[in-house]
Amino acid sequence: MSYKALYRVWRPQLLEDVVGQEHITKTLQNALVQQKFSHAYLFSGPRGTGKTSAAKIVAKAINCKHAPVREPCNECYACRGIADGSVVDVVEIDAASNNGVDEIRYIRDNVMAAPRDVRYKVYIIDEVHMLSTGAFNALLKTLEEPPKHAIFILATTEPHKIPLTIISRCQRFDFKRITTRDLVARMTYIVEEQGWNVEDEALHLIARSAEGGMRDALSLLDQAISYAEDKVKADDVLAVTGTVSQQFLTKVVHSLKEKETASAVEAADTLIQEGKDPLQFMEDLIYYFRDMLLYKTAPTLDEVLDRVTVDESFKELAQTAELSWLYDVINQLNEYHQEMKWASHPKIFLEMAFITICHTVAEVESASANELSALKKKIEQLEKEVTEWRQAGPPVQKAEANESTLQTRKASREHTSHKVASGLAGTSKIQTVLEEATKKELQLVANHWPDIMKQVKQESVPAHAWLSDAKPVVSNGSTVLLAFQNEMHRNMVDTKFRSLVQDALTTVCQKPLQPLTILSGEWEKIKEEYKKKQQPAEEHTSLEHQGNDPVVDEAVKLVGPELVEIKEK
Amino acid sequence: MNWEELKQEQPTVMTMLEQSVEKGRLAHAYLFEGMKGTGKRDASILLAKALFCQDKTETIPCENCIQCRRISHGNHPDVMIVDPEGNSIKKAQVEALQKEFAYKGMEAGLKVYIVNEADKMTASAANSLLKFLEEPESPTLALLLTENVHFMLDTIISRSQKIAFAPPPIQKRISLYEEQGLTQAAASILARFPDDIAGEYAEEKRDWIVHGRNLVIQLVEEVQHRPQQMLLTLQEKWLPHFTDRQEQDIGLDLLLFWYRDILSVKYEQDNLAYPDQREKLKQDALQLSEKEVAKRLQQILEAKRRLRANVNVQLLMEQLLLHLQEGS
Repeated sequence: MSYKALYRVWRPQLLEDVVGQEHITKTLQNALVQQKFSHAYLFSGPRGTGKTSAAKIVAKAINCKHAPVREPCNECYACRGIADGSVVDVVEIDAASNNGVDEIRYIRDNVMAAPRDVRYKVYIIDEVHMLSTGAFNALLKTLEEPPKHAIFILATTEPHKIPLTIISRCQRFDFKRITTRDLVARMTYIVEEQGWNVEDEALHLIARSAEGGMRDALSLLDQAISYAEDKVKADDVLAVTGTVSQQFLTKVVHSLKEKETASAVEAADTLIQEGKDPLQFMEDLIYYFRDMLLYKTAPTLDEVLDRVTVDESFKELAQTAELSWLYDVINQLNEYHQEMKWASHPKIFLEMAFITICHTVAEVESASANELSALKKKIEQLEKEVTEWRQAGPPVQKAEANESTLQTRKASREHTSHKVASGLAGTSKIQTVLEEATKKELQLVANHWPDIMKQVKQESVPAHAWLSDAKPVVSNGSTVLLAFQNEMHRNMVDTKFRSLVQDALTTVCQKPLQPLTILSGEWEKIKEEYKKKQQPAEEHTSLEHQGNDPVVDEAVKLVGPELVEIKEK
Repeated sequence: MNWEELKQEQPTVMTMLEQSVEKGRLAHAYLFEGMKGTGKRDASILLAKALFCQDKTETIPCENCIQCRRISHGNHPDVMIVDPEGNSIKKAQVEALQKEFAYKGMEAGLKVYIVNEADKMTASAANSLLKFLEEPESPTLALLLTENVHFMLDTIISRSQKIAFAPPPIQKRISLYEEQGLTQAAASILARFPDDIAGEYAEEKRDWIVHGRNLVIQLVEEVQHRPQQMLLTLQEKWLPHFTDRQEQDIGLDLLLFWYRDILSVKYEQDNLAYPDQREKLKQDALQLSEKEVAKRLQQILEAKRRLRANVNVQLLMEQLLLHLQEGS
C-alpha cells in the first residue's frame, strides 16, 4: 500500500513543528544550541502530543552535521540516515515488546561501545512504562552514569508507572494536551498544503473530539476526507466521529432542565438508532454542562470553553440554569459515566441517567428550600380549608352527621340518598370536567399516581387498600376523575377518605386538585357518549341532549340502561 | 453475508470502506466497534477479500477466485486472524503476529491481520502492539474488532481509524422473524437478542427463549401482586429453566426488557418487547413511578454485573426479586 496515514506523513520534522509544546521545544532548542543537553530525558504526556516525534528530532539534531544547531537540517547524511533507520547508533526500542531484564542487559552491554556513524548513541525507549521492575532496576546505573557518547530518551503516556529512581535520574518534560486552537491551526496548514477543501466548522468539530491529541485529530481528518464526497462538511465529521450536533445536545439539556423525561428518553432512542455511542454522548453532555458552568461564572472568557460554541439557545439556557443544578447534574453524569463503561446495555443506562436527573432535581430544590416549602404547605392547607368551608359548608356537616349515625338504618338510608345526591351533582360536574379536560393534566396525575398512592398509604393503610382499585381517567387541572371497579370501594373513598385523597393529590401534583369518583362501567358509558357528542357536535344532533341530561343519566345508573326508555318531547 | 447485503445493513460503514479503497486512501489500522451481530467480522473478511481478489467488480470481491476462497476458508498466508486464547489475547500471540509480519507478504506484498475481540488483549499484549500498529515495517492493514471500545487503550484508539457499526434496527429484525412464521410476541423478543443467540440455526434456543418470556411474565406478576409466591416460582421454574450463567444473563435481559417496556408504555412509545402484554404493562405503569422503574432497571443491571463476577445465582436472583418487590 502506497498510502500512508496523515499523521505519519505529517509527523513533525523540526522542533518548531511540534505544536502546542512551546515550553518544551524552547528548552530543548536552547539546550541544543548551548550544548547543555542532559544524558537522559523523560518525555511524558497524553497520546498524540508529540513525545516520540520530539525524541526523534532531538536524536537528529544532536547528530546533525551542522551541530550545534537549533533544528536538524534533515538533509545531511546523519539526519537522513536516522530518518530511514540506516544509522545503527540511534536505536528506537519498543519497551512494551522488549520489557525483560535481558533486553535491558543487552542495551547496557552495547552502550559501552563507541558510536559508529555519528557522534552520539541515542536510545529512544518508547512506551517505557511497560518495562518490568527488574528491567527498570537494571537500567538505573546505566541511566545515571552513561558513557559520554550515549543519550537516553524515555517516552511514555503513563509516568506514574515509572519508579521514582528512574524519574529522578532524568530531565522530565511533561507534554500538554494540545489546545483546540493549535489543532485547528495545524490542520488548516495541512489541508492547505494538500489542497483539500474542508469547512472551518468541520475542523473545529474534529479538533474538539480529538481531545488534545494531534494524532487523533489527523486520523479523524483522514477519515473524514475518505468519507466525504467532495468538500468535507460538518455533517461528515459528525458521521465519522459518532458525536452529535450541538443543537441535539441543546435539545436534550433543555428537556432535562424542564424535566420532560419523555422527550429526553426519546432523544436517547434517536441517538441509538443513528448508531452513535451513548458513552461518547454522555461525555459530550458533561462537557456541555461544564462549559455552561464556565460561561455562567465568566461569560467573557471564550477560550476556556472546550466544546461549545456560544449561540443564542446556549445563552438562554445558561441564563436560566441554576448553578447548584449544574453542579449536581455534572456530578451525577460523572458517576453514571464511570459505571456505564461496564454496563452491557448502555442505552438503558443512559435512559436511567436521564430519569434520575429529571427527578432528583426536584428533590434537591425542595431540600434546599425545606423550611420555605413547609411554610408554603401550611398556607396552602389553610387556604384549602377556607375554600372548602366556603364551598360546601353544610354538606360537610351532613356527611359527618352521617358517619356518626351510621349504625342506624334510618341514617343509612339517609346516607344512600346523600350518595345519590352527590352522584347527581357529580354527573353534571363530570361533564364540565370532561369539557375542560386535557391530556397533559391527566398525564400529570398519571405520572404521579404511584407517589400519590404512596402518600395515601403513609397516611392511612386502609385508604390505600380502598384506593388501589381506582385509576385516574380524566383531569382538567382542578378536578380529577377516579374510576373504580367496585361500588363499595368507591363509596368508602368518597365518604371516608375524600379529604385524604385530596390532600395527597394536591401535595404530590403541587396544585389544588379535587377528586371525583365514578364507577368504571359508568365511566365507559360517559366516555362513549362524550365521544359521540364530540363527533357530531357541529351538527347539533339530539344525541347531545341524551348525554347531557343528568336526570336521565342518574335514572340509567339506578335501574340499568335496559329498563330506561327515553322519550323525546 | 456478501458485500451488497452488508451494505444494506451498514450503509455508512461500507460506503466509508468502499470510498477508502477506491480513492486509495485505506489507512493502515482500523478499529471496528459495534454490538454483537452487527457484522464486524464479515466486514473485515470482505475488506480483506476486496484487497486480494483478482476478479473484483469495482471494490466488490468475486467470492469465487482462489484468493477469495482461501480467505473464506482461513487458509490465506497473508491474512492472519487472531482470536482470544481462553479469556484474553496473550502477549505471546501478539509477538507471534509481529514475527510473522516482519517478513514481506507471500504474494501481493500486502498483509492483513484481524484481531477479534481486541478489547480482550492483556495490558502487555496491547502495549506490545502499539509500536507495531503505528509504524509497521511492511505494508500492513490492521483490523481490530471490538464490542467495547472503552476497554481499549487510548493509545491504540488514537493510532487507528475508528469505525462504528450501528446496531441493527429492531423493527427490521422483527419483521424478518415474522416472515419466518413466528408470532409477533415471539419475534419482538427474539429480535432484541443478537443473532448467535436467537439466530436461524438455533431453533431450540428460540423456543427456550419464548418459554423464558412466559416465565418473566409470570414472575413480574407475582412480584407485583403475590410476593409470597415469587421465591417458589424462582426455585421451581426459573432456576431449572435458566441453568448456566449465559442463560441466566439472557433471563435477566428478559426481565430488563419488561421494565423497559413499562417506561415505553408510560411515554406511549411503540416498539415493545412484550407487545401482547400491553394491558398488564399499563397497569404496572400506573403503579410504579418513573423513578421507581429506573431504580428497578438499575437493580437488574447491577445483578447482571454481579452475575459476571461469579456470584451465586440463587442468592443473586432472590436478592434481586426482593429488591424489585419491596419498591423504593
